[in-house]
Amino acid sequence: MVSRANGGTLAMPGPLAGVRIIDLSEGVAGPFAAKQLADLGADVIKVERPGGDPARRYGPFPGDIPHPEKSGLFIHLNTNKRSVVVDPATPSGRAIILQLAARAHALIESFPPGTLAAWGLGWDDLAAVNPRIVLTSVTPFGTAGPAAHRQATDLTLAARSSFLIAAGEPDREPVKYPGRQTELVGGLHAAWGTMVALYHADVTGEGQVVDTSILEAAVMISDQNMLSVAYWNGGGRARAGRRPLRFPPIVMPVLDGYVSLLVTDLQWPRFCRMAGLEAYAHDPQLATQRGRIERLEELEVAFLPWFLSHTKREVFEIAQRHGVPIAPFNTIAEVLDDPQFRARGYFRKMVHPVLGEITLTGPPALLTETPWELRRPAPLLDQHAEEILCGELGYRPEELLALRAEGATG
Amino acid sequence: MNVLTDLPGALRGIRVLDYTTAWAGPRLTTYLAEMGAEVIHVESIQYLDTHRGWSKWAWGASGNMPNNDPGRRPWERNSQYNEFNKNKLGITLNLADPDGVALFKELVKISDVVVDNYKAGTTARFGVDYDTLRKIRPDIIQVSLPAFGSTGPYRDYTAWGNQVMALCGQGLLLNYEGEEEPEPGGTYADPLAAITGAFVVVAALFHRRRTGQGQYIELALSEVSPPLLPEAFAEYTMNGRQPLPRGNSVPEAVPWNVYPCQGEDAWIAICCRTDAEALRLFEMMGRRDFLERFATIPARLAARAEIDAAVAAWTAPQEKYQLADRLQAAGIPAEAAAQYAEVLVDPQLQARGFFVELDHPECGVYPHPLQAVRLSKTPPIDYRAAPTYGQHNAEVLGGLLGVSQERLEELAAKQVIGTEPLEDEERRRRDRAWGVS
Repeated sequence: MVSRANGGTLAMPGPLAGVRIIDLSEGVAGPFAAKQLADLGADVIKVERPGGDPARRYGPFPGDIPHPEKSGLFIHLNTNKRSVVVDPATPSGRAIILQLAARAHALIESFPPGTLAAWGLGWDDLAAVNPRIVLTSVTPFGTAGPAAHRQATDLTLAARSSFLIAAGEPDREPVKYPGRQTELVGGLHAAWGTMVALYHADVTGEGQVVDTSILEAAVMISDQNMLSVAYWNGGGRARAGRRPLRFPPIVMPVLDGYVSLLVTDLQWPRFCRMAGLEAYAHDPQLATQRGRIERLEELEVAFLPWFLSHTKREVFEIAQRHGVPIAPFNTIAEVLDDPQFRARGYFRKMVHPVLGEITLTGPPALLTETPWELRRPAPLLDQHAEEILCGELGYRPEELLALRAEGATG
Repeated sequence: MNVLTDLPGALRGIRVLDYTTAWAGPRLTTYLAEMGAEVIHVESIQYLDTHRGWSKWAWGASGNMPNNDPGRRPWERNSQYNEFNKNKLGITLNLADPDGVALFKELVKISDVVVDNYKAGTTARFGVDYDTLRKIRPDIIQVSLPAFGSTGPYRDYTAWGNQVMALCGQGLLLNYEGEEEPEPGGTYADPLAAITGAFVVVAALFHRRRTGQGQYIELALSEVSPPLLPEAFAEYTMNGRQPLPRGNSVPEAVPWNVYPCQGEDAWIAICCRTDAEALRLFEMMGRRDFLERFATIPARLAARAEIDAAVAAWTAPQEKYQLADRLQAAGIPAEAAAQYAEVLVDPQLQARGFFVELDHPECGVYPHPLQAVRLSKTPPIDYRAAPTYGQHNAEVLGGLLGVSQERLEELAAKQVIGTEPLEDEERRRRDRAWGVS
């Protein structure tokens, strides 16, 4: 299985080499789950309904001009996958999906609860052709329960999970984390559940259903708050806003932007030394947060000039030399140019057949023996139809034409 | 195989040696424990787990204790420690002592996975780095979670999750629209690292089953985070533009925001994805004048402020849960913004059995969140509250390793093991500064 990749280096296959996943999911959460498996070596066949995954229509786009092969979101969520268009609502399309499922280890889907079964592709149908298969559902609320059929977006799930109320000013509306965090975290949990079930199937030969709730994944972002508030109804971390009653604060302005801090009492003396204000380190009243709050204004006046006379980069380097956890608020350009990411070769470039050179985020984990790897960019719609349907399932070219004519494939 | 916790989960028979602290590491191994792995959490009586607290002040005033009361053994009562360490066996070992390291290595010999989340280089300092451990257990899977990785110019840097998020670009995007001073978010990198790491560990176990090969896995919190910002990286690399914070709105739809409701800190999220959903909302609001003026997305995008103000005026006197149900009945995505206590009684979570009651000897019976996945044949289980300090020293060191009772007493006398944190001058000094004794 070990093959030589470009540059003559020895490329090793990922830990999931030889695992085949059918990705019927659409949008963000399911595709992100399937990406996790694909990037660790699984062969992921992305089955798209006619018209393609709706995420192909989500921005950003180059020049803000929508194009189904140029979605900046889609290309991040679908690395290392192959695409074939199949309409699961048609008898021929259903037959193709069952053929694919018979040869697969897992199938991931994100349709409203009941949809798959209505197409004759529910757990019983899949298990009949492949009892070892893992069927992973990724839905806003899970496949059952009183809310299973409610409508949802990333924002409404953030609201219901309490993830929303964690950020923002205490006297204003809470403010959501950027992007589609609940859906992406839902995808990570779906990948986890799928992986556990794949392991179980490998040990026992038994397949099963993995029912993932994005709402619950969002609760898991701050699960300690649930136990805290159960312990005591005043517990749980309320949103602190920009001016929490503490010193050092959590955000400080600097010459060219802002830095993020979280300085504990134990680190307070180092913080004082860092800013050249050693005397404060020896003041017993200031050793604790309570004492510092009593002299908040004095401390702000004393420390602010040091911050305002250094750039965020300088503050970062000096603080870290003193063992104080401070970091800059970086722009995306600064992240891409960051010395640490550069030294570790984190961001990856690939050539996409329509977009040309693209930049993608890198491995969330380094594995010494079975590395995370980008083998191919996100697929064009139906790019691998012949390879999959004819080459692997054995359809003859004229049968493929007939399937296309009846609308079962792309 | 000698097993203490023969759980029915998918990871039955996998033993994890976990000497993590605080959040990302402990939560990672709890994911494994909830799927049936036997997780042994190794602590020391010399250095408290960050989430057990470092002074009586932290124990008493943090708001994380049952009834906000530190009790006699406050280090056993912290919600963060107790949530992130459930289902585990708990032992103590001083890894700064050769006897502690020797026992740790004996445990490595009978374990499958070893997890730490200290600064790069710490495992080598204790003499339990991967190169050492693989010699005594060749197929061991060792996992480390340093903030920025063990190589590169930041390898010795320290950061909490919120500094990681600032450095990775998320910090500048978490804000109200048009505002510059960043909103501090929470410690988001930690839960991301925990779930990502749990997934990767099982992938490595899967590979080991097929090949017999173990490996070293490094999860830098800084590298787990950027994949969660795909639009931001695409926007910059494709268009050369720094994305701007949007608050709760999206560029392609109106109304789509968080609106006030009746009561203190009461809010509702309403998202109209289509013209039809927006028009249904305007009808419910009784704003027939909007039906024609704002029938299309371009018209609504151009009047976002006016429409948001009208929606807010309509929602403000209403009860958030009833309003969400009415909007859902009309097919419009809407949910009340839950406070933490409200999540505990969420009917959907209750129906799915998301909260499981566990009895903790120092805290009592409380509901703990389970997991976001239900596996039909091997469901995740919460079966045991977090261990108290050294609770399973006898079972693990005596039962698994066969250390004699006499030897355990010697180890306790040498403070290699124990069941309470050692008194510490630094902690005492801080307690005095807070006026507690």
